[in-house]
Amino acid sequence: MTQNDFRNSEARLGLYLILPAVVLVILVVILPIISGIQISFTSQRVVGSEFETVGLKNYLDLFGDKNFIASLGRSAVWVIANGLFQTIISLLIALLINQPFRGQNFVRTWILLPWAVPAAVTAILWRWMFDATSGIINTSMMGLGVLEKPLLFLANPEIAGISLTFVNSWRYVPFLTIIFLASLASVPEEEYEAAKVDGAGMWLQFKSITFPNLLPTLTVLGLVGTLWASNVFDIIWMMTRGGPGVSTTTVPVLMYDTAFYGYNISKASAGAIIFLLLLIIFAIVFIFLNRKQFILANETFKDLSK
Amino acid sequence: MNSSYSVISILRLLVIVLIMFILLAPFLWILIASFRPNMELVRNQTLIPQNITLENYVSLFAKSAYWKWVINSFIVSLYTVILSLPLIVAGAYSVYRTQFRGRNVLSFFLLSVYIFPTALLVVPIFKIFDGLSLIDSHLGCALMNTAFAVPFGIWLLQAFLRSLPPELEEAAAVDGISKIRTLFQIIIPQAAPGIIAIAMFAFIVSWTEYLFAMTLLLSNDLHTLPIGLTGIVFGQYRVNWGFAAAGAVGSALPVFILFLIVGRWFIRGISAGAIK
Repeated sequence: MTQNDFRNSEARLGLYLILPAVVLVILVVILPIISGIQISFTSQRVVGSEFETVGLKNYLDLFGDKNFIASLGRSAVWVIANGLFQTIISLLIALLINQPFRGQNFVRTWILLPWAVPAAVTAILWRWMFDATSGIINTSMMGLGVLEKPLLFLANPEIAGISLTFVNSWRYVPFLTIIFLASLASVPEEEYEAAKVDGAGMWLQFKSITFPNLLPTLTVLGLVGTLWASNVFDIIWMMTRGGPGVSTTTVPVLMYDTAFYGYNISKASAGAIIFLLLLIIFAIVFIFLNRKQFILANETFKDLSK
Repeated sequence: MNSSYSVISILRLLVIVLIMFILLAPFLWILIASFRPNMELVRNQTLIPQNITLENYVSLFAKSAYWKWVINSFIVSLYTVILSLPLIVAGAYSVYRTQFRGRNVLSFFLLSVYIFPTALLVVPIFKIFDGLSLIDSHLGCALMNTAFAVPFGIWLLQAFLRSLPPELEEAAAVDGISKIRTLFQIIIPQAAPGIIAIAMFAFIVSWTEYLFAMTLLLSNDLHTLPIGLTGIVFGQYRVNWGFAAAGAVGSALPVFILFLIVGRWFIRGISAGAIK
C-alpha cells in the first residue's frame, strides 16, 4: 500500500464516520429552514391548509408591526443581559472553586444539578419561590420587615424580565462554570510557578497568565452563550408566557405564539427568517472581530491532535 | 501574612457556600413542600412543617398519569441515547483522528445548529414531520433531541479523546492495524468514561426537553413528564403547589439518582479528564 492509498482510505473513513451526523443535521435543521423560507412567501395559516404565494408581503407587514419590532428590542436586551451576566458570573465562580478546598468534589458535581433538571421543574420551583402570598422570598422578606408588601416578581412588567434573567442564569451558569473550570485546568502549572518565583501577586497572575489562557474559551463561549440566550423559549413560556402584557415577549415567544395560537404560520416563518438573518450577521461580525481568538482556539486543537 | 491568607480563604469558602445555597436550596425547599398539606402551603409557612402528609404523592402517583409520563419520557430518552451514541463516537473519531479535506468545515457546520432558535424551527419541522408521519411519535421527538445533542456531544467527546495517551494508538498504527479496528479495539475501551458522560449528556438533553415534546406529541397518551406535569400544574387557575412540588420532585429524582451514581464520571468526561 502506498502512502497515497493509505491517505485516501483514511480520508474516506473519516468522511463516512461524520456523514450520519451531517445528514441528520441537514434533515432536521437545514431542510426545515428551506421549508420555512418557502412558507414565509405564502399566505398559509395552519399546516395543511390552502394558501397562495404572496411574495414579500409577510416581511413588509412585519417591518410595520410595532409588536414585532418591540420584541426584537426585547430579545436584544435579553441576550445582552443573559449572555453578559452569565459569562462573567460563571467565570468568577470557576476561578473561585478552581483552587482546592474541602468539599471541592461535591461542589464540582452537584453545582450542575440546576442545569440537569427539566425546565419544567425549574419553572415550578421558581414560580413557587416567587409567589406573592406563599412564596418563601416574599414571606421571609416581609417577615423580616424588609418589604412592606410582596414584590410581584413575575406579575410586575418592570421586574418580570429581571426575574426571568435570574432564573435562566440560575439554570445555565452551572454548565458554563464547568466548561470554564475545564479550560482553567488546562493552563500549564509551570507558568504559575514561574510567576510566583518572580513574586507576582494574585491579580498579576490572573492578568498575565489566567486571562490570556482563557481568552479563546471566553470568546467561543461568548458566541455560543449569546446564541443559546437568544434561543431561550421554555423558561419564558412556562413562567410568564411572554407577559405580563408583552413585557417578556422575545422573538421566539412571539413567533411561537403567532404560529400555534395566532394560526399564522407564514407570518411566524417570516419573523423567524428575519431573526435568523440577524443572528447570522451577528455571528459573522463577532467571529470576524475576534478572528484571532478563534484561530487560537482552533490551533490549540490542531497542536493537540497531531 | 499567614493570618490574612486564612481570612481570604474563609471568605472564599463563605462565598462558595452562599453560591451552592442559591443553587441547591430551592430543591430542598420543594422537597419539604412536597410533604406538606396544600392548605399549609397557601398560608404563611414556617420553616419546619407543622404537618406531614403523603397526600401530594398520592395524587401524583395514584391519581395522575405520572407513571405513563415517566415511561414516555424514558422511551424518548432511550431512543435519543441509542441514536446519539454511535453518531457522536463516529463523529468525534472522524474529527479527532482522521485527516480529510473539509473536516474543519463539517465540524463547524455541525456546531452551527445552535445558531437556529428551536422555537422558530418547530413550524417547518411540524410540516415536514407531518408528511413523514413523525408527528405524535416518540421517535420523531427523539430525532430532534438527537440532532441537538450530537454536535455538542462530538465537541465534548473529542476533547476527551484528545486527553488520552497516544501511545497505544501509535503502536497499533505501527502494527498496521486499520483505523476502524483501532477505533473499536483501542479508542472505545479507553474512552469509556467519556462515552458514559456523553450518554448521560444525551439522556439529560432528552429528559429535560420541553419544546419539541410540547409541539410534536399531540395525544395525551404520549406526553412526556414535563408536558404532562406542567399541563396539569399551570393549567389550573389556582396552582396546587403541593401537587406541583411532588411532581417537581418526581421529575428531578431520576436525574438526581443518575448524578449520585455517575455524577463524578460525568464531570470528568465533560472536562476532558482535566478535573480528577
